[in-house]
Amino acid sequence: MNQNATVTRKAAYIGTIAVLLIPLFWLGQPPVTEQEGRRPGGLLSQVREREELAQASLGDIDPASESMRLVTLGMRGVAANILWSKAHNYKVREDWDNLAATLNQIAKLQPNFISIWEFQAHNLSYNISAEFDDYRHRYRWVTRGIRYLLEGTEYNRSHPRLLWSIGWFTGQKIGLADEKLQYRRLFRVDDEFHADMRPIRGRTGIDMDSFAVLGPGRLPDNWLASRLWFKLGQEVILNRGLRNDIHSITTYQGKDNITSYYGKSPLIYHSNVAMAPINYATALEEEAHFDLLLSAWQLASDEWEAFGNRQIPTTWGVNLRLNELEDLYTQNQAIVSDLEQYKPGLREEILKAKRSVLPAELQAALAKPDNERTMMDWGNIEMIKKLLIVLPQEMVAHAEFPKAHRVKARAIAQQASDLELHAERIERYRSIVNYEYWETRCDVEQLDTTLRARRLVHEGEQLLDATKLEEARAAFEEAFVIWGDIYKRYPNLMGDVTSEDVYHSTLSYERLLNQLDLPFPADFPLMEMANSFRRAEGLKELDVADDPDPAQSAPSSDAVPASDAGSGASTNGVEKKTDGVQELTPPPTEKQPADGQEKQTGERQDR
Amino acid sequence: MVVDELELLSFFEWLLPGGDGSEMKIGALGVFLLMVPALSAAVAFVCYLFSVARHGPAEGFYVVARTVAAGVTDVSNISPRRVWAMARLAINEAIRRRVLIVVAIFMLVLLFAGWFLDSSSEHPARLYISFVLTMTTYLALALGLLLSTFSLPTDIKNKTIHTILTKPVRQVEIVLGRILGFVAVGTVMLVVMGLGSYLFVRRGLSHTHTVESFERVEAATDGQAENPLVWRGTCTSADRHSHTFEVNQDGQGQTDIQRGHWHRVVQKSDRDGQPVFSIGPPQGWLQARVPIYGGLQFRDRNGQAAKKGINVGKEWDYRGYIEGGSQAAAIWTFRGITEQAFSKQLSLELNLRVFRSFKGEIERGVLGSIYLSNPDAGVAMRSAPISFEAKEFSIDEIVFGRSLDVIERDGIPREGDIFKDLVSKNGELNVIVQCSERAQYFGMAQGDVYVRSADAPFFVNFLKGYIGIWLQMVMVTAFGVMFSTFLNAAVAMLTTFSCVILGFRSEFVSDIRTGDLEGGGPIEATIRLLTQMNLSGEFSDQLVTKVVQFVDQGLLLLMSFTANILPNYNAFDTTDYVAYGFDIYGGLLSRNLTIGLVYTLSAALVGYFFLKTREVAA
Repeated sequence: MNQNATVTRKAAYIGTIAVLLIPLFWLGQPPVTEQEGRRPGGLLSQVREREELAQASLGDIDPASESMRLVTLGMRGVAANILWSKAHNYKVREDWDNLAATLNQIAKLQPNFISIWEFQAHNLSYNISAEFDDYRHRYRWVTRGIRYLLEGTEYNRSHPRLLWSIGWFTGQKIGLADEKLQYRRLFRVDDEFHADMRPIRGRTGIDMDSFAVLGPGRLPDNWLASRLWFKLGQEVILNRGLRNDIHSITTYQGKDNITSYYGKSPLIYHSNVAMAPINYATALEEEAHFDLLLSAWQLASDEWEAFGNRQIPTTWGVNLRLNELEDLYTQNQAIVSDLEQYKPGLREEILKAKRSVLPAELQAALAKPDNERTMMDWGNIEMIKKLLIVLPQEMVAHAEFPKAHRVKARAIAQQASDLELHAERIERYRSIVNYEYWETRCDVEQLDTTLRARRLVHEGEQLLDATKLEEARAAFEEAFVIWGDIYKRYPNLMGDVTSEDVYHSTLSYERLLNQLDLPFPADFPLMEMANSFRRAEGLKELDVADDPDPAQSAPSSDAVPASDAGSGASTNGVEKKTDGVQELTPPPTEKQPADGQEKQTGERQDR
Repeated sequence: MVVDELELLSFFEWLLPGGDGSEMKIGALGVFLLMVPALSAAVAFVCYLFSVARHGPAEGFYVVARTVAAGVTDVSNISPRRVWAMARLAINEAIRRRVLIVVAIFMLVLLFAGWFLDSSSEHPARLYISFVLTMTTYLALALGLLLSTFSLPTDIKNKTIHTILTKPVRQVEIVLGRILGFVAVGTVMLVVMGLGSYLFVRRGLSHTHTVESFERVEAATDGQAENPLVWRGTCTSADRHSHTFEVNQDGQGQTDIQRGHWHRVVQKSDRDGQPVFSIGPPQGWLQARVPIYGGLQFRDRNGQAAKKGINVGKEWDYRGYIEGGSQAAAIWTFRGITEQAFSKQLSLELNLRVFRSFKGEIERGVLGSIYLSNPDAGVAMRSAPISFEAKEFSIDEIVFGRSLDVIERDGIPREGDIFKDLVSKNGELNVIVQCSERAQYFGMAQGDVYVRSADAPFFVNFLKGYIGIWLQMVMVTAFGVMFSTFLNAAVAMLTTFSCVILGFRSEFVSDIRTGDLEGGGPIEATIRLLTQMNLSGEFSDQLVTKVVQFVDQGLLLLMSFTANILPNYNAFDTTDYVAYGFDIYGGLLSRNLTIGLVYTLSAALVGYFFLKTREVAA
C-alpha cells in the first residue's frame, strides 16, 4: 500500500514535469536549417533573432556570461547592484585593475542591457583615462572603453547605439581631446587595437586595410575609422527598418522609421557620418598634411551632400531632406504669387496694416540703423519678423479677397501653409547641424586659393620659428590677402571657431612685425575679423600705422561688409534664403564682438 | 596602489600606550583592559536581571555568582587531552558531513576562472592573486559558518550530546574542542586551497616569448662603458603583449617591462657563430618588497608645517597634495637606516600621483625633486636634490649613492657621505619631495615613498596572506560555535552570517546612522523599497514617519554597537599586499594574530557560559 503510494507520487511528478516541458519546448525550440529552408524555432529564439542577440546561435553563447547568470539564480539584479557599487568604490580608490575586472563582470551578468555598455565605456574612456597623467596611459584607457563597446557588440550584434558609440568614441575622444595630436599618432600605429576593430568571431567590424580608413602615412586614421563605424550603424538602421517591414509580428511602422534609432536623433546620427570626414580634413589642416587636404575635403563635401539628400525621419511623423528647402521656397513663392493674382496689392495692404499697429518700442527698434541697435532691439526685431509675416490664409480671409475664388484659394492657401510648415521644420533641422555653414565650408576649402592660403600660413609659422622674418612676412601677407578675399565672398565663415586658426596666425604676424619693428599695416585685409576676435578675447585692438591716404585704408574697413553677404554667395543656392533673413537679423559675428567692445570700454572707464 | 589606508604601525606602537594606535592614545592593550571589565560587568548585570526574574533578587545573585565561580574552576581545569578528544570528534563529524565538497567547488572554480579574468588587464598578476585570495576567503568563511553552526544544535536535538555530557567532560572543553576540531579541518582545506591557488597563479601567468628580430647596436656613444650595449631586438607576442630587449657585451640582458613583468635574456652563439638569444620566464610580478616606511609630514606653500596636504577635489582623501613651484613639501622620516643594511646605496621607491591644474607639457611628466636631509635639529645638512619626472601608477626607483653631494647652510655643495652627514645618530633620515612646476600638484600618502630593503620570498608572503584568511575562518568558526550553544542550527547560522556581514560592512552601518549615506534605517529602507521610493525622496512629515525614524535610530544604534564589538574582517584582508607585491609586515601580522586570538577566546568563553546555563540535560 505504502509502496504503491510512493510509486503513484513519483509517477505524478514525472507526469507534471513532462507536461511542463511541452510549453517549454514550444517557447525555447531552436531554429533549424533544413534542406527545404529555415524553420524559425520557438518564440524565444524568434525574439532573440529579431533583437540580434548573440545567443541566437548556439555556438556563440558565452559560457562565462551564461554561467554567471545561472549561478546568481535570478538574483541577477541584486548581484549587478552589488558589483556596480563595488565598481564605484574601486573607482574612488583608484584601483583601476579591479575596476576594469568588475565592469567586465557586470557586463557579463547583463550582456543585453545596452546602457551598461554605453555608460561604463564612457566611464573608461572619458573619466578614468583622465585620471592618468601620462598621455600613453590615457590613450590606453580611451581604447579600453572602445574595446568594451566592441565586446558589447559581441553580445548585441549590430546594435545601432553601440555602433554609434564606437564611432563617436573613435572619432571624438581620440580626435578632439586636448591630447589629440598624441592620441591620433598612437592610434595610427596601434596594430592590436586595429585588429580588435576588424570583424571577428561573427561580430561586425570595419575593414582596417581598406582605402577608406587610411590617412596620413597610409596608416589607419581615427576619423576615417569613425566614419566607417557610423556608416555601419546607418546600414543596420536601414536594414532593420526593412526587416521589420517583413516581420509582421513587429510593432515598428516601416522602413527607416524613428524607432530603429533606439532613442538617438536620426538627424544627429546621420550628421555624425558627414561630420567625420570634415573633422578628418580639419585635423589634416592642423597637422599640416596639405597633400591629402584636397581629397579629404572632397570626401567631406560628398558626404555632406549625401547627408543633405538623405531622408530623415522626424518625430512629427514625416520624413524630410535638408536640401529640399530651396525647392520648397520656389514652390511656395509660386503659390503666393498665384494668390496675389486674384487681388493684386492685397499683400502689401495687409503688411501695411500690420506695421501700423506695431507697438511704439518695436517701431523705434525698426527705425534704428544696424550699428545703433542694442541687444534688446535685436530681440524686438526678431519679434517683428514673426509679426510681419503675411500668411496665405490671411489673404484669403481678408474682406477684400474676391468671394468667387475663395473656395479654390483656400485650398491653395492650405497647400502653401503645409509647404511652409515643412520648410520651417527643415530650417529648424538645418540650424541644429549648422547645415549652410558646413556646406559652404566644404566648398570653400576645396578652392585652390584656400589650399594655398593654408599652406602659406603654415609656411609663415615655420619661417617665423626659424627666424627667417622677411620670408615669413611675405608668406603671411600673401596668405592674408587670400583669406581677405575668401571672407569677402563667404562672410558666414568668418565668425566660426574654425577661423580661429586664421586669427591665431594674425597674432603670429603681429609678433613678427614687432620683431621687425614695423607698424601694423592699415590696409590689413583681415582687420575686421582680427579685431572682432581680439575684442572677444579682451585684447587691445590692432594698432594701425597712421596712413595719411584715406583712400588706401578705405577698402580694409569694409573688407568684410555685412551687407555684401549675398553678392559673392550666389554660386550656391543656400545664400538666396539667408539674404532675406539678413535684412533683419544681425550677422552673428558682428553682434558678439560689439558686445565685447562695450564691456571693454566700460572696463577702461572704470580704470 | 593602496596598501594600507591606516597609519602603518609596528606591533608595539599599536599595542602600547603612547603610540597613535587608538583614538584614545592608550594603545590597544589599554582599550582591551578598559573594555573587558566594562563588558563583563554589563553582561553579568544583564544575566543577573534574568536570574532575578527566575529566582528572585537574593537567590538570583547567588545563581550568577555560582556560575561565575564554577566558570573560573572549569576554565582553570581544562584538560588538553579531553579538548583534543572533543576536537577529534568534531573532525570526524566534519568529514562525515562531506566538507570535502568545498575543495571540489574550489577546484571547479579554478578550472573555469580563466573565463572571468580580464585578459586585457595591465597587471594580470594583481588580478590573479586578488582573485584567488578573495575566492578562498569566501569559501573559507562559508566553510567555517556551515561547519560550526550545525554541529551542536544537531547533537542537542538528537540528544547525542547526552552521551558526551554524561562523561567527565567540562562544557568549556566541549566548546573549545568543537572550535579546535573545525579549525583543524578548515586549516587542512586552506592548505589544499592555498597550494592549488599558488599553482594556478604561477601557471596562469607563465608564458614564453621567442625572439622575433634583433640587430647589432651601432658603436656605443661612450667607449669607456665597461659593458656596452651590443644587441637590441623584439620578442614575439604572447598573452596580448610583446617586449623589446637589450643585451650587453657580457651576453646578459633583459626585456622592457610590460604588464608588470620582464624576462631575462641570455645571448649564446650557435655552431656558425651566429648569436642566439634565449628568453627566460617572466619575472617581477610575483614579488614581496620589504619596505621600510617612514612617518609623513606636510609643509604648506609657505613652508609651514601642515596637518595634511591639499585636497584637489578627490572624493577619497587618502592622499594629500602639495603645490608645485612653492615651498610646499612632503617629508618622510625613516628610522633604522643603518650602515650595515645600506652599505653601498640607499634605494627609495616612489609612487606619486599627479594633479595638473593646466595641461602644461602633455608629452612629459610633471617634474619634481627629491633630497635627503638630516633630521637632527642642530645639523642643517641636506643632499643635492635629484630631479625626476613623476610617473603615476608605477613604482619609480631613485637611488642615492653612499657618497653624494651635500649642502650645508652656506649653500655650497661638497662631497659627503649619507651616514656621516645625513643620517642622524639614532639612525633617522628625512626624505623630502617637492613638485617643481608651478600650479601642478603631487599627491602622496605615507606608504607612497619607502626605503626598499631586500625582497622577501613571494611564497612566504602568499602564506602570510593565507594566514589572514585563516584568521577570519577561525573567528567565524568560533562565533558559529558560540551562537550554536544557545540557538538552533538555522538561527545560529543566520546570526553568524549577519555578524560576518556586519563585520565587513561596519562602516556602512555607521555611515547610515550618521546620515552620511541616504536611505534610512532598516524599516525606512523597507518602506522605500516596497513603495519604490527614491533614496533621497522626502517622507511626509507625519507621526508615522517620526515613529519609524525613531525606531530605526534605535535599531541602527544597536547595529553599530554590535558592529563595533564584532571583528572588522576587512582589517584581516591582506590581499592587496600580496597582489601589489608588498611584504605583509610583521607588525600587521602580529596585530591580526592578536586580535584574532582575543576574539576566538572571548567567543569560546561566552559560548561556554551559554552552554553551562542551558538546561541540556533536562
